[in-house]
Amino acid sequence: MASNDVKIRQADMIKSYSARYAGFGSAVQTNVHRVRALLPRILDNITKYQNSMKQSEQSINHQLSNARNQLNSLMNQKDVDMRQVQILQEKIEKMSQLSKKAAQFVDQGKKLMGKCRTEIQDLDEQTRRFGLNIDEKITGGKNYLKEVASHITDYKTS
Amino acid sequence: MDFIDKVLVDMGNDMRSLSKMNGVLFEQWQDVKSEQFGQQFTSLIDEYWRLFSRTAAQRSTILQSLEKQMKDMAEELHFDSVNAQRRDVGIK
Repeated sequence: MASNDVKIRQADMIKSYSARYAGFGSAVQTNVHRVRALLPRILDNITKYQNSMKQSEQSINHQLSNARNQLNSLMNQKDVDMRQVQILQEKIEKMSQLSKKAAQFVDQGKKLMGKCRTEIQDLDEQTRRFGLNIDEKITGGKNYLKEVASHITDYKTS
Repeated sequence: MDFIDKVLVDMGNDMRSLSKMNGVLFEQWQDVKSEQFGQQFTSLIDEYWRLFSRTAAQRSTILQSLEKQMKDMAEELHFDSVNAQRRDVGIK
């Protein structure tokens, strides 16, 4: 009778731990999925910032082009307003500098996006492999418990 | 992006509870085979977690920094563009 009690206790313990392993494995897979699902959102954000920079660059270049056209038409007038000319020249100078800066930012953004993609791909792959490794180990743990359970009479593994 | 750090914290808690659980389980049986299995099982899972959490946290930091850099650059350029438009007012 005492021996049967021990067997029942062992069987219950194995059953309980097997269920806990399954729960742990499932929690890891959920978290692996959460990490992998978050990664495209980072790329979306970064793409949004890059598109914003391209829009700003377009706006700056448009303003530069407008200022040059305005200066040309001003210079073709009979009575040239030198104050307006000076304002436009200053504007053109400023916008030229900004145009160069925008081109540098967009180029830098392109490089950063490439780096981001690589980091995201690596993290995704690393997370996927971690999930597989843990899954494999948990299956091993559960199999071990089944093996132990198979030596206990009257205990049926599920 | 800091969401990934939060997930890593959750995963770390799960890992610690598994190690604790294994310790309790395999110690109770007190047979050499189970003890060896328990040690290997726990140490391998710990090792997987140690490697994964360290590099994943590093990558998360790098990605956060890249994201912030892009955000700052986009805001600065947007400000430059809008600010330049405001200066157009005096030109006829």
